[in-house]
Amino acid sequence: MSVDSHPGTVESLTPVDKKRSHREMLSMGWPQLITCLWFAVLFFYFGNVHIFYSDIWGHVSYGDWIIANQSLPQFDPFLSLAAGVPCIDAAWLSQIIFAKVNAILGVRGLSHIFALTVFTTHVLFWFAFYLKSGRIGVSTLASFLLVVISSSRIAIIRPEIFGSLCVALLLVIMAWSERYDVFKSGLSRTDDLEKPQKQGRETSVGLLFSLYLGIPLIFLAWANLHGSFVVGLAILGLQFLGRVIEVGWRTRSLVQICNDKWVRRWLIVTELSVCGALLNPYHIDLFINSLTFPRNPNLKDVLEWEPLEFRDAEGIWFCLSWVMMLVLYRHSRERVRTADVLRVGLLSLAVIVGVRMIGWFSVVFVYAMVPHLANVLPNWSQQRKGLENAAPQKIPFWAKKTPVITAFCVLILWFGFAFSNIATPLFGGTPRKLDKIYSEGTPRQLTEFLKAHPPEGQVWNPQWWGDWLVSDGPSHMNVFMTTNAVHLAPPRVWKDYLGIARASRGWQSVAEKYNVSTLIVHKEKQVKLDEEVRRLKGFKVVYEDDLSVVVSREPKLISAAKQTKETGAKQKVKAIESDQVEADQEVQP
Amino acid sequence: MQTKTPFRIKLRVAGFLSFHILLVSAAICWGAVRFHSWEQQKQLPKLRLNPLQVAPLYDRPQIVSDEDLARVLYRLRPQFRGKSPQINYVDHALRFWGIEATFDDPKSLSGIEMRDILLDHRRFDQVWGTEAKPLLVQNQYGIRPRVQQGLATSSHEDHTLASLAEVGTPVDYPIVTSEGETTLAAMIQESLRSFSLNQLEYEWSTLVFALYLQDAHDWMTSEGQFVNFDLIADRIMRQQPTKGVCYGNHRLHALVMLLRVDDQTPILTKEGREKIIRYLKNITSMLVKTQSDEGFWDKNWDGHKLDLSSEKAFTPRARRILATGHAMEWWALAPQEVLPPEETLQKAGHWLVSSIQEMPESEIKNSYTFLSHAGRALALWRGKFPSQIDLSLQGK
Repeated sequence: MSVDSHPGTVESLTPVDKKRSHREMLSMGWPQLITCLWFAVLFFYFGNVHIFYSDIWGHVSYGDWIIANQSLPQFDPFLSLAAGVPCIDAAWLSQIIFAKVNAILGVRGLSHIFALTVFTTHVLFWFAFYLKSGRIGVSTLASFLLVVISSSRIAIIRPEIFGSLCVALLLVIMAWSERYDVFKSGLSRTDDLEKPQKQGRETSVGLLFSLYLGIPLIFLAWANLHGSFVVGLAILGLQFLGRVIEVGWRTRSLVQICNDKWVRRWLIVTELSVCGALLNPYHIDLFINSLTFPRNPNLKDVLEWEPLEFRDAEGIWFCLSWVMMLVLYRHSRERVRTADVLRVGLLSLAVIVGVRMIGWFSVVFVYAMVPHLANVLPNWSQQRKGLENAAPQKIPFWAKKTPVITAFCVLILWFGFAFSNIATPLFGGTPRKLDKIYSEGTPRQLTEFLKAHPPEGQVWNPQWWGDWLVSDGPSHMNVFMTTNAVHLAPPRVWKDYLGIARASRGWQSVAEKYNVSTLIVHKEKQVKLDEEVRRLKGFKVVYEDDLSVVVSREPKLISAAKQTKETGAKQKVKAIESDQVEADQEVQP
Repeated sequence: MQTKTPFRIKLRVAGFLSFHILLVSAAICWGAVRFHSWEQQKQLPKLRLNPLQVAPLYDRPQIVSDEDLARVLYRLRPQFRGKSPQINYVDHALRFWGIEATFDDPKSLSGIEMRDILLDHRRFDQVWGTEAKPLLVQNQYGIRPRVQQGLATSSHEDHTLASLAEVGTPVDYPIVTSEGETTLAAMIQESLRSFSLNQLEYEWSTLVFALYLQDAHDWMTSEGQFVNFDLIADRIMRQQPTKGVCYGNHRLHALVMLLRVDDQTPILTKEGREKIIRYLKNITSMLVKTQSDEGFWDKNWDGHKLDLSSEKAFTPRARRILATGHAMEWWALAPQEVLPPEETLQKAGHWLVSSIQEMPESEIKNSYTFLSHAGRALALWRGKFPSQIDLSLQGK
């Protein structure tokens, strides 16, 4: 064999080859184009998501309160009915971020931070999938699957978005490590125990830094941003456990397990991460709170904490995921990692118990399936390489790479950014209208009225508006329930709230028990209550718009309503008169 | 071929394992200690052996004379001897007459007999028969009397217990249920555990806690809420004045009892106490304004228009005795600063005396529960408990 023909030899390139090489460097294929398109769509979508009217405003209010008081709340600061119920504020750092962004950039800032965080999270997920599969198209498909499975939880701005960002960072490091963390089958000899293990390749220093410093720092941030850090610890802990099982299964030796490099690494990383997570204002109490939180009796009535219904969208996606997993396991030649099985099993159980966990399930599920997807789906790029050497003209359309596609990719990315709302401050143009930022159900007019005429007594309000009323309504308004404090309200208060919300029999005496003097009703969602409050003895309708109706027995509100009505009627008469004058003027020559 | 693991390796592995097991154990222990301290927060407050006593403060013969008082009380003897005495009558009568009460009248139950019916299932069985469901039942929190489930049950949440507290029953007093023997402490603990700040009736529970709790520290309810007497007082004052059982009067009585207990052992903060006094002063001035010329108050003692749409059970006289008797009762125990002018009290006292004397026997029987409050009120205005009034000359 001649030296020239050896495949490992670097051959000197001719000018034509060099030209071809540059061309190749600038060439992209369809998978890249689809990926760019996918991320452009995601970026555009996240930038246009409405700010929902529920708990985000509670988090903003909490953040404001923390900044104003320079301390964390011991009890819910806005719900007097929850006085004396200890509060562990697991999302205090997120709340401060939200409050600061809202104070500096307003609601548009909140929209931007949501778009940037969630988009970055999905890019990181994609990158983790790419590190696992080495294939762009498969990673994009996995990213798409992730979005589809977790679609019900993807478009809500809340501290959980920072938790998702943290898990994405964690998965990137884990996926990186899995390129080295490969277990060789077969028993090691005892002599090998004293030598450094040669499992996989030599681990890079960058990865070691990421493992021993990066992951604990992620958990340090995560534990202060959102209570979901326990899910992260479970993901990490199961990585360690999976490795232990794999080594133990093959070697049947405790010594081998303890001597395994990656067993030790994952154990130490998990321990360091726990230490990182303990650096929070509540220390280990935060762990206990996060673990016992789902046992709160009030959560049984909250939709997202209900068990999985197989007929719902989440249930259907969950079942399809399992079917897909079984099909992939049946056809894939890729090795099934124990940690992946453990994680998917645990998160599946969690989803069945509480549908809210579907977001976390989708992450570990897709992460586990990526190598199998890559194994099962045909690899166009490898085929292309094979065909390129043999007969370049036979490369199929889908496997082609050209600079034109690259140009399209750049164009798509540019358009995706330029047309997004985030780009407006940079490139100028009309900022997105507030109506387009707030979700349709945000009772903005209602809070304007309430600010002008603040109720003095106890207000009954729909829980989903409570946070908005606290944030945008008059200060010190005594709301009945907020989304943020459902778990803090004593169970009887919560039951009584539900009784009134559903206009259950005798709800009037329940309202009387709390001396409710003003009731705010969501007309569309509380039709029965809407009918009944209008007939409530001693109460008068003091405000009404398309969204809400307010009835009150407070004399100030009633007289304010009367005045508004009279002024409105006068303005109406004036408007009609001026219209008539204008009409007359138009008719006269 | 298996080869032997060198000792050095084994030692290294043992060291590795020991270190990490120690580390993990330390974290678990820390978690367990903290979890235990969370659970400790739910521990019930300590009880005092004997409940505090709240004695009458005034002796005003202008409100009721000795003769009138004896005549009225004589009419209100607890004539419940025999089969199936209504339990709400028995516990009201026990609260009214106290444990020391004895009567020459063979139809009337003594205080001890009434307490036995309430706390000894064997005695309850004798009067109600074996077919009746027991009064005292076991639930997840302990022992409690059944409430509002028929004639063989109590009429208000924790009223039976509050009556036992007001007549001075110690916490170690033995009680016999259908399932065995325990002490009164089990009932009080049940009340503490099942208490919710937002339960429908909370006035009598408040009274039980105020009289039996050893110290005024906050305690955690089973709903996970720290409560104290300030918070309970706020809850009591939250509703509109006439809302609640007995036209809202039990709430006012509970507030007065809090003030009186606070005089003996501090259970309220300074602000909490001032808030209650302000509230009661407002109520008093409202009552002074709305008193009828004859001296009574009605269901609408807050001055609102009388609404009888939900009032079918009581005659006008019964309603008025209910409203007036209760008001006179809490005033009789209240500090001077929340009392109305003497004239108001006298008019009310005279009206009560004459009305009760005019009442036919049948009406007295039917209205015994709130007549017990009126009778007790009149005795308290003479600085005595009803059992201290000599009735020997009556009926002769």
